[in-house]
Amino acid sequence: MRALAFFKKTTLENLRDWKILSIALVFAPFFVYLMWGYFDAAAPAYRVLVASQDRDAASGRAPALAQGLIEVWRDAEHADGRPVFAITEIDDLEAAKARVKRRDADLLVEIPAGFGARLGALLAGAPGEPPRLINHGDEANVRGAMAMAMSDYVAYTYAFAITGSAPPLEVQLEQLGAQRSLSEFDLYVPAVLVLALIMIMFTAAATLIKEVDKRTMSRLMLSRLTTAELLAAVSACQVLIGVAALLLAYLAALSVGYRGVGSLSTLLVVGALSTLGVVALSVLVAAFLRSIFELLTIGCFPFFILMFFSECMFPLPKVTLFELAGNTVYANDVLPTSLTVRAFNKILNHGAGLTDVGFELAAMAVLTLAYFALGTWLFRRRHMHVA
Amino acid sequence: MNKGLAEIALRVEGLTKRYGDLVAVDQLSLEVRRGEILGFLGPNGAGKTTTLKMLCGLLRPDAGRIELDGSVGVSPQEIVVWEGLTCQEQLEFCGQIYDLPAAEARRRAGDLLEAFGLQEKARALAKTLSGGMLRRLNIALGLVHRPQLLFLDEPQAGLDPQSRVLVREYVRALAGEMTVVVTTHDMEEADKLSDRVCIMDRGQLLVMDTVEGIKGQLGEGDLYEIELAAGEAEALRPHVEGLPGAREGLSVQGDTLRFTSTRDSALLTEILHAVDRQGLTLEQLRLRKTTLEDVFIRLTGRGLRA
Repeated sequence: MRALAFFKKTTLENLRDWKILSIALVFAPFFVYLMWGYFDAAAPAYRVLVASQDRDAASGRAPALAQGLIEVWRDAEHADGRPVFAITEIDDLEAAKARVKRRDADLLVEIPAGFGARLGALLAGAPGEPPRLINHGDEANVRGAMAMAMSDYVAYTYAFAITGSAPPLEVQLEQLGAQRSLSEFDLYVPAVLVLALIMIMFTAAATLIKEVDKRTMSRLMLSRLTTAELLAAVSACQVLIGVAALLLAYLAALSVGYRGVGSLSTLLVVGALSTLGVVALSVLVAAFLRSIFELLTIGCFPFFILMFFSECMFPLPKVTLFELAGNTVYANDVLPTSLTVRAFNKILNHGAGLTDVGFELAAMAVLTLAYFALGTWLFRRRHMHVA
Repeated sequence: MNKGLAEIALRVEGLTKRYGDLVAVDQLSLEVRRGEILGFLGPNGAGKTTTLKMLCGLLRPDAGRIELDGSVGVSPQEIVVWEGLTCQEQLEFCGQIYDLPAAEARRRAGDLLEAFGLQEKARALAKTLSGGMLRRLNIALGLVHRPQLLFLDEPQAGLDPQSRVLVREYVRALAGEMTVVVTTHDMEEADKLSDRVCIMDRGQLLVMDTVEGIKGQLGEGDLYEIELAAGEAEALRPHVEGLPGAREGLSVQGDTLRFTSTRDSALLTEILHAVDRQGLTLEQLRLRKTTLEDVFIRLTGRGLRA
């Protein structure tokens, strides 16, 4: 009854404190749209410059076989129909190299003189030097390395097709994932959805700190409301907000073409459990703060720690701690939201069910209990202590 | 329940609280009878609020013993309300966290809103209320669960005269129904509100009695205050001591000579003659009823608001 009364009170307060609530609800959808816009606008295709030195003396144009390779590169497509390369033919080799250095282009492919003739000789079965391509790239540019690997693959495929010879090595791909191609945006969506849950740190901590800041904590301490009832009510309210924020972020992803293969209900169940972990961390954070101002300034630090080390924005190098029941435990798994990112990836991109993410759920539960215990102890000592 | 507490709602023995070298409350001992209103008087910094916080359990004493019987309600000196809730909502919530059933909490909230003149603001968020309204709501929040022992810390602070009367009458009506301990530095309010008064200064209990009993310590009758030119008060003292009926509680503080007397206005004429004979300069002559402020000045040698 007392917990229910507090739940009703805190829900009303959260709804009326619409500024913080709005930020919590729209933060993740905003980043979904931002990521979508970024991947759509900034990474349409690898920018490849092609400098052909192979010219027909009479026409001044590249021989048909060399021109054919350029056309194959130009026509290469991802599974969703997007072009793999944005090909620009360029005559000035030095100018092209300068553009790669400036990263105005990802890769420069030089087709040396005699390329078409050598390919033609192979086609005729005449022995001789194999046709040669020269890649000019910057090793420090990840996009350049990717462009090189893909252009090489397309070129080999073209050469085998032209000459009719079998490739010396056959590599077969066995799909282990969702049996579908995933765009870079698709790969990012599960992690960005976790932002919706991390934002609960602000609403949950604000709920507790307001009681301290406005001194209403003294009224609660004098009443029969127990700490367990207070935290249960706060958690229940924050889980509702977390699930709503998660649902909004998921709908935002769907609206720009994301198609997760997992079940929405599984996602929401894991999201709800994960919110409890964030609430537990919020109690810990609230123990060290005394005002909303402190939450919005000092409180940003743990928020960014959570966002950064949970790999919500980009993947981090993995630091393996140990193996447990066939699962690898990484250093950043001390954060429940790191496990959430992994669980969401499995659910949304690989169609995993609750049992498939059992390890992540169990680890989350253990961490949540530990953080709740530590946070409650500290919060009571600092804010509910009789001096 | 302790047998001794049958008639006593609150018993305090040797209560002490220190903040470093400062002794905020020093060996305080007192008893509050069931159903009475006890006024806790003293200037700022006397130790009233510290005492109250220890009595209601928000502050741990360094020494001493507190025995109290029944549930406790508190209206703190500062405004402590939930700004994001309406008046009705927070009164109901406060009742529910003291285990009042929802319907009873709703009814009780309605009663208190009416009693404190807030019924028109029942659905207004607390953050939209005026200072006086907030103060009334602050008091009402301590009453929702019908505590047997109510602590009111400076309840009249920040109230307009109309609200003062409203709050005073409500608290007065609680006498008998619950035990009320009210702190104030307003002598007049304490006089009007309390059955008994205890006066504190510098952490120590100076006196505890009924209002009339305390005033009686100054002597019966009216209070005479004779203010003379600088340095002349002591010169008049032996002449006033010689007047019949003017010896009770005679004291000189600064340039003012004070005493109480039951004699009629003939005494005034005799005083004026004495002043005239000695060639002294009379600045003011006041004749009035004794107040608790006079008691405080007598006990501490300084005014309450000093």
